[in-house]
Amino acid sequence: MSVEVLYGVLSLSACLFALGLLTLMLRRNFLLALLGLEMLINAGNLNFLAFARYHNDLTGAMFVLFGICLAAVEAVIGLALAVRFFRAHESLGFHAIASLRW
Amino acid sequence: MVSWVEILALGGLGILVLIGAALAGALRDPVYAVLSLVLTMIGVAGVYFLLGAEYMGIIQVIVYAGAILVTFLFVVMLISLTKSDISPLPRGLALWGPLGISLGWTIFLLYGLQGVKDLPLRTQVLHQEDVPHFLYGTIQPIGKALFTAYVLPFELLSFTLLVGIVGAILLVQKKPRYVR
Repeated sequence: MSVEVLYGVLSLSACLFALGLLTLMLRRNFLLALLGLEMLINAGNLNFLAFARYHNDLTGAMFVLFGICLAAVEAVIGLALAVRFFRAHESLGFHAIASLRW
Repeated sequence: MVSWVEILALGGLGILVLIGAALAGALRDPVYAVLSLVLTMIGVAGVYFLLGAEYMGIIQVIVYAGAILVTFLFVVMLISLTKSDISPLPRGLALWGPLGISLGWTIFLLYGLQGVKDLPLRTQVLHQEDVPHFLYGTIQPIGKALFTAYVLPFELLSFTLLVGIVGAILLVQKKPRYVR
């Protein structure tokens, strides 16, 4: 694997990270902000795998495997919270979620 | 040596990934937003395949595109979140501020990544023996590592998944038992 491919994958991951950050900042809805979080996790995974492949080492691949599982747990808990909150408030907008503050 | 086929394939997959992500960030209909994120995940899986980590690519398709995003879709339809529930993207400073922040962040990262060209090809391998090149993407070295060097993280992760499942069930109960 050449350094040009590594550079390409890292650039792609940087752009994906920026788009995820943008989604997280712009969306005013809990469920759609979670989508931005998934993009951030994927950008991190891309970085891990690019360097793992570059050094022909398995450690980064293991991190990707564990990262995917942790993303699944995060999605499950986030979606359960979303369902519960929607039942109580009929909305998932951040203006409604702000009522959780005390 | 530059392999132009690899670069071109990476460029195509990259465009796919970024278009999917941009649509997921901008579309108002939540169903379409989740579906365009599926496009992103499949593109990322393609990049994994391109890097020669086929097992990770398959896991990415099965777990991310097949399980996580379908669960998102399921929840969107369960609570019948429609276009009218989603407020449009903000205007003015609330739009241009985050846009500027993430654009500046990207330019900063792309500038900093120039240093990657000075990396030595092989730094030290952190554990066990070298993985032969043709075996990298298969499940054999991964399974071996999972049950030797990474057995504790592996078991802890299974416990974390269990906690996640129990927590989700507890959260969505109609009348939670933990509320007195």
